[in-house]
Amino acid sequence: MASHRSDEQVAKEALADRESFGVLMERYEARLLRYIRRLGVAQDDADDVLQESFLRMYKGLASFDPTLPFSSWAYRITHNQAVSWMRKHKRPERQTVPLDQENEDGLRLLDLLASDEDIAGDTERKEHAEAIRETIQQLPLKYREVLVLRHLEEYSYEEIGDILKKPKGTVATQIRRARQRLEKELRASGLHLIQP
Amino acid sequence: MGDISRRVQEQLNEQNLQPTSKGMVQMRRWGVLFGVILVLVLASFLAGVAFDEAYDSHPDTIGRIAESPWHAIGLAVPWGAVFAFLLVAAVGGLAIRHLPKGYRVARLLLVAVTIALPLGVGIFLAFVGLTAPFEKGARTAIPPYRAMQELREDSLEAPEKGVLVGVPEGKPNEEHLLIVRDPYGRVWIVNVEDVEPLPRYVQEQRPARFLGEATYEEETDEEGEFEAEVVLPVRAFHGLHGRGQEPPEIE
Repeated sequence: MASHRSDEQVAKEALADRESFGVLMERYEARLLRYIRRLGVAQDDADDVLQESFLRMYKGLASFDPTLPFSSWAYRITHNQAVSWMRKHKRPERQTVPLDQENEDGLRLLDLLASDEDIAGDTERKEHAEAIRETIQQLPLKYREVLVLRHLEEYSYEEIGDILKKPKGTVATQIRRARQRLEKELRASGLHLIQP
Repeated sequence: MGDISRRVQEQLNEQNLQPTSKGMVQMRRWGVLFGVILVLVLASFLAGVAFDEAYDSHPDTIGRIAESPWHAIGLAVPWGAVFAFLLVAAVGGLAIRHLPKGYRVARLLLVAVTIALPLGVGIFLAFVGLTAPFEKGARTAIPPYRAMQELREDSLEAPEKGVLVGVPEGKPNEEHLLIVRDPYGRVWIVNVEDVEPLPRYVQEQRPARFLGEATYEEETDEEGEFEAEVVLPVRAFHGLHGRGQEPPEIE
């Protein structure tokens, strides 16, 4: 029965029934954990960050506006927790997404940045994907977060604006700058890709 | 249910956690705002008291600042300006808070304007000379300045008003009479009732200027009586006669 209800409906029910919150956690655990790791939180700490995020979500349920998407709200809280963790640890950690996920992320971004004609074979594609993924880890957080949300989490500009509390125009500008910076870093490391 | 979800659910049940009510969230926000404003108001009161105390001990230094082009900053800001600033800050803060999400540049600009605008206007007005009436008003709010101003006005009508320079000896008696020896060796019995509590430099028996009126029961070369209306350190002279001028002879 829970699967037929929207996230917003379940969130409203969770105010009175604690068990309903478990439904939300179940729906979002994997996604949010992957997002936290993509931002650059260490694997061992990602679990703690997510746990803390869920607790904050539960405590702040009364402040959640059910007319807005629950997903954006959940991502915003999780994003803030992850950023707070990274600030405490001073340096962003290497991404610790599982290997198959790493490859998928890199390939997805490679497809975004490169023209197909320039990538000869599968091996070369995988090498380029790895280089892209490594380079993203080195980007400043403000570029990394928008790239992850847009191209890996596949959120719209408006949804990213809700998560990061920025206007849509600012998000669009930051995504463009993030891509330019990524391409510049890739060129500097010897990887030349032609934009589609 | 995943591991993390299960752990969180267990924690919620064991600790019987509940969502924070909307009312409590609002109360916290307004409580923080109220606390910030209260701290600012208390700080401004303390600053005013500290300035008053500082002036009492070093009026010459404060007076030099007051006579420089930086009047608007150097003088004690009248309480009205402090509260006006707080009001602008509060309104600016609310405006910043209710801006739509993002607009970081707009927020920063609004913060900068909220802080800089009252200060900038004050400095500008001081430079173009429009703050003179307010400075006069501020000066008259400070007790020593106010007393000097009154004495200056009185001295124009009563030439016998003068200045006694000397070293206090001992402490005033129960009739508020203090013994002061001037540079010529004369002993003066100075009535200090109107200038008590005495500044620290007088209590420490350091040289002081007593502005007031000389009165004699009998005329002698070795003794006199004086009624003090203002007391200043020896170097402080600007308020009555202006910088660079010598004090008048004691009559």
